[in-house]
Amino acid sequence: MQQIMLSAFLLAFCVWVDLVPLIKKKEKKVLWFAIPSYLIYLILNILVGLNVKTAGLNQIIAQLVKSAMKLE
Amino acid sequence: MKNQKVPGKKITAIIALYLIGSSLVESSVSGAARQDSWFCVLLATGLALLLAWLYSSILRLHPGKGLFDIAVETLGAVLGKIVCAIFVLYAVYLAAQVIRVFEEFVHLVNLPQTPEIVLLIFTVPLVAWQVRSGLNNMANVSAFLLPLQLIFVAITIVLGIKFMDPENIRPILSAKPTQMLKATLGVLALPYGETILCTSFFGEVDQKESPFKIMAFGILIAGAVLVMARLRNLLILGSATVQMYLFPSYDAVSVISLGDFVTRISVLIGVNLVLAGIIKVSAYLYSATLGISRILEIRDFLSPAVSCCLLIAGISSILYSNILDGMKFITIMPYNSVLFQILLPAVILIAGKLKKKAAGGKKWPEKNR
Repeated sequence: MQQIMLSAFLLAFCVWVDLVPLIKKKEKKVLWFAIPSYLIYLILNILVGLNVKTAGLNQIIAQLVKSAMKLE
Repeated sequence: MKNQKVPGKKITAIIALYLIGSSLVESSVSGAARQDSWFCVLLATGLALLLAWLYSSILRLHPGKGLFDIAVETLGAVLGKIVCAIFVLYAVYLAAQVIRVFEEFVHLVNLPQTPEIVLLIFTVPLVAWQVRSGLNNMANVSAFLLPLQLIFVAITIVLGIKFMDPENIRPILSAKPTQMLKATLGVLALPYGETILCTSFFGEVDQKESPFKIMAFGILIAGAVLVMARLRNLLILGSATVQMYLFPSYDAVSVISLGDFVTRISVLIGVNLVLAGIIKVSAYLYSATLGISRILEIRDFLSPAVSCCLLIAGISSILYSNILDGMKFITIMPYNSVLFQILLPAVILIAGKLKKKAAGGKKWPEKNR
């Protein structure tokens, strides 16, 4: 819960200083990237905050590299 | 902001700090060579100059342009933007990796009771606003921090002499050639090969200055620091003990004391590494932001910085469950670096040369973003 609260605090700060001005300026191209990024950040932190077990990104990449390069 | 050209010397400072920032984890990739790992770092520094030559060859073909502009120009809009996206993902991933390691470092050695997310609350705005304020600002900060870094490293070496044992690096060059090769290539990929992302800055660097000299000086300064730091760690702790620690620089320096009044100077290493780490993450973020702006053709090219930094922060939290898993992965990183550090730059260089030849050696038309 602490993780979710603190990440929401950071998110709220960034929305206030970055996202709101972008929306006001109608910077559509930036918003195409910004809104999904904010959402990904929020979702990932909720998952971490709720202790949802996910395969680490490093582990996935390591498996891909190992199978591609036929490493042990 | 775009028209304000940044002096090459300051870019050299960014590159040097960018490379030094990895020294915290660098021992994991060169550890295979044990007491000869310092020699592997030295060899890798020499080989890194070849990489700098490759990268500067790309930049020389397209004066006044950065990596992403060059990729789109040489490979065409679609393929060029795909390559840009690959480099953006690489920069985002590396930045997430570095943020996570620094988070773990501060958490483990200084603030064990503090949740790691608290550190992100301070790091994310700092890095994002550093990038938003432009390359010139980042370069000024680096030019200020680099001498401090060098002084701090020199202090730790001078004060550490009393605690050094030359037997710790003997017998010299006794590691197996395969181990030496593995360690050298490991250090070449992490951190030296990451210089490829710094080529994206060169659209804002004074065209009169040689890209090779700028990169080579940065690599040589960082190489000197990394070799000296590695030797210091080995001479103080010995190779077997260095292997045991996650952050050997911090632990080696924590041994040093001068009477009762100069103790715990390992704080200097912590400060040093965190400052260099912030420059490193800023450099990744700047590169990723430039790439995103090139792909989406955003005029205010630094406006995606904050959202990109949040994305990096989010990804950093799902990289691995604990630092030991993270350190294991670092040994695999050299393999996946081949694509980004050698193959793609080689493709861009060859495509650029062929295109220039087809155009009859004419200069590229100037195209404003």
